[in-house]
Amino acid sequence: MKTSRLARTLLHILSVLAVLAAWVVLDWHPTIRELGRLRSERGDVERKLKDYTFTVSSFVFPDKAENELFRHGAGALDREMPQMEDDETWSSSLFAWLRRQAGKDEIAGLRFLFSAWPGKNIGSGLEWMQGEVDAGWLTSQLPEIRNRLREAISGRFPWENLFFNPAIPMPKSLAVRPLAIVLTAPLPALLNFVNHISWGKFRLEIVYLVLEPGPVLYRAWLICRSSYLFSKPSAWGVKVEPGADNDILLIDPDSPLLWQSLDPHSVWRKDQHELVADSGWNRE
Amino acid sequence: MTHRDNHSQTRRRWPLWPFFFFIVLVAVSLLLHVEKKQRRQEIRQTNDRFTAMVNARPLDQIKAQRARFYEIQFYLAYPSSISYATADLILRLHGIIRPLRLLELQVEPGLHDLKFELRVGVTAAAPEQARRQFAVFFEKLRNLSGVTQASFSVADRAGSGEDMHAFAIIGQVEWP
Repeated sequence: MKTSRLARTLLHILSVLAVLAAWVVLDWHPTIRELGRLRSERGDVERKLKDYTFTVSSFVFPDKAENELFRHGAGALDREMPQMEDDETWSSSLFAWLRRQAGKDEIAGLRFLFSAWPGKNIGSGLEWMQGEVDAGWLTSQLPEIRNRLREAISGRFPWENLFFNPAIPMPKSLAVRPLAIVLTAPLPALLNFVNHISWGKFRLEIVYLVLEPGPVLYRAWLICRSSYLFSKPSAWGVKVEPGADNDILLIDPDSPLLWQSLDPHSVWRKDQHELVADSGWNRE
Repeated sequence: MTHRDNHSQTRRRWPLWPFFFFIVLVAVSLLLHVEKKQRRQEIRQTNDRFTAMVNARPLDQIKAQRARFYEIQFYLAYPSSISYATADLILRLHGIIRPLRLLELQVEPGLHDLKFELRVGVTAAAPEQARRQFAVFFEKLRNLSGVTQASFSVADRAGSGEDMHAFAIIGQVEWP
């Protein structure tokens, strides 16, 4: 009788422990773990809020003048880029401008080399000559000029990302094409021309330059890249699309520069300066 | 009668503690779940406050606007900056090159600097004398403002006479 009572008591204790263990395993333990996770999540969120509040307190938010600059800047590419109807207009307008500039800078000999279509050899397009360019020297340089022309537009256009803005789509498409300019001139004239080459509305971007003294005058060839907006279909059109986040990242997103307002006096400067003659070089 | 009384007494003595034990279990569970619900609510409220703050004061959007503005400005000024930097580099090299002779110069502009390769000729009877003259020029070149890198090697003879010794320099210069 006593034994059976002891056994029953033991059975009760065991069943209570079993129920308690099951309850703990199935409910309390997962809930306590969840509470721990929630506590750390709450800490993270509170820290995030505190950091953001601190950041906001030291950040300069745009005022009316800066908002005006943003509005002005949004259409800057469209306003500043050369606008061409088609590729033919590009070549005729550009060469006319280069001829005028070469005349102003007193360039003795000038020649343009370019392709009418991507992938075609140079020479398949228009070549225009003003004055004399050393033909023998030019022939020796041609393979390298061809290589550099190809390289100038191979791969992704480095500024492509800049032209992609889903908020303000460009009204026209972007074309990028290379051009070789071969010239002979006295050094001062040649340097002035190199300096002025980007000043016109075509904003030619020098990609490569080779210079050497000739028998009488200096001679040089430049590979330039020209970007323009076109309305009719162009063989040199570039597909404008967003790149990777760090693609041609010119400004670090954590840069203190971005925490301050834009300075209205330092923006939109042209950066066009004449060369400074300090040793009579331009009287050679 | 006595037997029935005994029986009912036994039934009444059925222990109540399992019931209380169960109540305690449920109560503790309830407290834990209420606490969990409260914490979730607090997190949601803090997140809402954070989202409202970000929407009211969109730092990233303003930073992106400023970055884009500077990038466009940089792009629009880039052609004139590099054409000036290229011409200026040639001008400064020309200013220090004498008595050496420029044989060839290649310039490749980059986003913030220019890479250049220069070949110069030195007229001297002995190689040591040529090296001395070249060393003077190389020192001047390294002292040009903005030159961040320069190294040289002896190049092939220029082919314009026995006395001509050629040197090649590879370097990098920052925009002025």
